[in-house]
Amino acid sequence: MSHIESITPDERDTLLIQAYLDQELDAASVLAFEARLLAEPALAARCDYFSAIKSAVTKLPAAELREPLRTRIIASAAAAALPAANRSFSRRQFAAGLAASALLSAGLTRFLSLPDPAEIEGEAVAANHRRGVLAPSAFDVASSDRHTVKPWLTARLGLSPPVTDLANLGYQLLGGRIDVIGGTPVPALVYRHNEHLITLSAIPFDGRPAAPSSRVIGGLQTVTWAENGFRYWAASDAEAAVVGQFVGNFRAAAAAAG
Amino acid sequence: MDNPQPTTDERFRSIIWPYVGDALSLARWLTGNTADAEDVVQESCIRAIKGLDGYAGGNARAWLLAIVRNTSFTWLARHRPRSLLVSGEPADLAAADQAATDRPDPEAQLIARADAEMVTRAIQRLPADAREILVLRDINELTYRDIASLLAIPLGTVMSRLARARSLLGRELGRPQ
Repeated sequence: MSHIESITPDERDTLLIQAYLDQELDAASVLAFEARLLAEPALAARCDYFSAIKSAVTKLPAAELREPLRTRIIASAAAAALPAANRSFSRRQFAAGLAASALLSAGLTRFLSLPDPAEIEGEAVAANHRRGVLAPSAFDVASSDRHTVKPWLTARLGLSPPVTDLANLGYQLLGGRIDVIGGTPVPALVYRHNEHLITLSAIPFDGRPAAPSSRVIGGLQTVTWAENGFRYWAASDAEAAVVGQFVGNFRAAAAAAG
Repeated sequence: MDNPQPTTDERFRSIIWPYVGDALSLARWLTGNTADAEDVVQESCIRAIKGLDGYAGGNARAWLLAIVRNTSFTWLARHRPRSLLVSGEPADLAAADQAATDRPDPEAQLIARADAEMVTRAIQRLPADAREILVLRDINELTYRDIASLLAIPLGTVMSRLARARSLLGRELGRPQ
């Protein structure tokens, strides 16, 4: 494999195209590369080619964690977690369906309550919303002005989701907050609709977009989706229809703001 | 007062469980089918939970996927040893570059029309190292840095291998079926 310095300009461009498509270039390099795409049709055509290939792979449906496997993993993980002296069950016995009784007798019922992987994050979001509702103030920066909230979040976290003004649709921006999810500080916006608060958390995420999906977590209505560099969670005591409408309005306003 | 040490199930829940979906994806591509992938994932989770003391913080997804990769190769060596004899050619940047430039009109539109089944079969036809790096980047969404660390190769090699893998896939997809 040749050193980077000794490759041809065309070969270097091929590498740059990969880094550009995979969002591995720093901001200055992105600007320079995009200027070249505008000026060099051949480079732009090659970039489109690689982009189409990358899209073909990222659009493939994800593997599903089906139920028989899910329980098998939990059961064998629970057994593996036992101190060696107590590890008297073979994996075959678990596969034969003795998992539940084995776990109960081993006193490891905590393993049985493992939620869907996506719900772990949802539980953190719900807990943060509840904490906000119960706290003296649900937000760290109180302002209904998005031109105040967004810079405040950006100054502290280096990023912020789009902060949109939805007051004319009945959703009053109350302010912003920094929550901790999975050990990482993430921005959150707090809106009010009638007597309910809605927390909108935005977790930085560079994976593929996902359409909104709703579920009830900890008694709260939640909706989660992913787009434009964030995985969003909206959580509220309000009814599902209200939360769903909020999500639609927020996404439309964010898209319009560009 | 000190926080109590997290229990094993808490560590499993935060370090391993959220990435089991990614583990299944990678295992599916490395073993070639769902049933074998499920066995590999179950075995990987066992190894991971036993190896939790060796987890030093950092990207937990990448840590688990490294275990899945090793477990897959062990599994393949035991059940399908001949499949491991066919190794990919060394990353050849010139070949990747050639594949992208020897057509006057890169067939982006043709590729965009390929459906999931065609794309899946085309990926399965790739050499193992090309398939693996495509999956780690575009399906498991690891950064170049994490891929370099997981595969123990330099960053430059990650990029050139990716370029070659994508060119090969483009060539496979551009072929009439």
